[in-house]
Amino acid sequence: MLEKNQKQNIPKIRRIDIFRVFLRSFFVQSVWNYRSLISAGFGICLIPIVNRLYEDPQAKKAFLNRHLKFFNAHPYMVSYALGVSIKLEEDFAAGDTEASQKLERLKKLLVSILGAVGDKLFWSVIKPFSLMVGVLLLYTLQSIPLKIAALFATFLFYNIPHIYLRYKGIWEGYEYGLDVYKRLRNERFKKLETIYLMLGIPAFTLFVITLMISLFNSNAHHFLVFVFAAGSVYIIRKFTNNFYLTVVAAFFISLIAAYAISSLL
Amino acid sequence: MSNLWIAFIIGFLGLDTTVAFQVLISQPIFACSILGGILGNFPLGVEIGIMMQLFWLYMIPAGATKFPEGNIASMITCVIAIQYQGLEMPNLVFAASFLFGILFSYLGAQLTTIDRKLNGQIVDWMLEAAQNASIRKITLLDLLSILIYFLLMSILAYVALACAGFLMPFLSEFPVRIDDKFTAIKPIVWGIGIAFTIPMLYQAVKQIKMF
Repeated sequence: MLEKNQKQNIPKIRRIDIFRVFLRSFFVQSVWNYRSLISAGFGICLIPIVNRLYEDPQAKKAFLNRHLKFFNAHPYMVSYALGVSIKLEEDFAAGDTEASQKLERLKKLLVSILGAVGDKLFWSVIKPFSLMVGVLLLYTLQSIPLKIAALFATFLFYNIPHIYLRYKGIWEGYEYGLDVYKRLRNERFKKLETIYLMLGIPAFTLFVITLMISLFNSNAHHFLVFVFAAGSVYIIRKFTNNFYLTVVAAFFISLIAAYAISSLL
Repeated sequence: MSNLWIAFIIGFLGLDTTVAFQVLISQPIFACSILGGILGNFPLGVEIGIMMQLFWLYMIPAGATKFPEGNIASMITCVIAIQYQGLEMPNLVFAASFLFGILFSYLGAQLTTIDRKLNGQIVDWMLEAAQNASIRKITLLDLLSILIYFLLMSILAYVALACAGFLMPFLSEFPVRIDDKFTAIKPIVWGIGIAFTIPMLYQAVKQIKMF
């Protein structure tokens, strides 16, 4: 049975519609391009909504034109923009003629907010530090079943906040509408950042120490070469930021140094 | 398993980098472990996954910045190292597969740029389809974009494996004892990887102090 706004005979958004948008959000960067950035994927995420709200082809055309234009956001935090868009499209379909302009203005505001919050939270903290925990577990655990368990644990460690925020973001965007930007302050995510930093930093420090001890115990020559290689990268990066040049130069310089060190020892 | 199927698996896992899912299965510790398991050497896959992960950990994939395709490169390194373990020159095989990986991380970055430019054309077609409210066509174009990326990365992987198939057997021309001269290869790669990651750790410690 469809939920309908009795006065306007316009269907309201259902949980299943939002869930379909959530599933599509995993492909939000599928058509990423240099011109409109994430907009195509954003528009495609909202297809369950256009099918729900509009039957008239002209209305569908206008909806698609609104959402296929330029837009950018972090691929997880984009869920907040999706939620807001769902809310304002629902209002627009119900007769609020200013909703589409409000949506346009809010999306422009959200471009920088969602990018800044998402990059800081996920790309700078949760992703690298989850992987650091995974690196430590994989390096130190010896048996294959434990390594597989470590991979699952790392997978969950990263994806629990990721999928939670993807899903919650849509609902918060839908519930808060124009006020959603108040939910996107960096302070709100500080606790989560701190947890990942407090786990990831010791994990990686422990990994580096374990690795160095292992190299030192197996072969002093290997330990010296390891230190030389790390030092050569540090020095080369003072002169260039080119990743490939740094890696290749450090690799071959260290290879020569390894031969020289083994001759001396 | 044939190189074609391996290339398809690499292409599929590579989708997770940006185009689809983004649940980390394309990251070296996961992808190399999966490939190691499929190819019959899970421990080597894990080891290479850890080593290669360090190289790309510090990179923030924000906006239009061009980055090395580290995930695809790591998978290529892993597959080549496992496929040629039979040469019984583990150090030279690893060195060669590592250098292959670095080369193909560069080529992968170029292909990603081409893919993103192609997506610009796909978006133009989507906007045309939008004028007719043709949602089905828009959805098909989306699937086309995903398929293009999958094929580009699969082709890249296949070319890498084919090149390795041509070049790696030359290693057997060398006497096996030469491999003993290259035992420092893995410590070198560890050192380079750690050096890329330490600055990120330093920034994180500063961030904690600010809290």
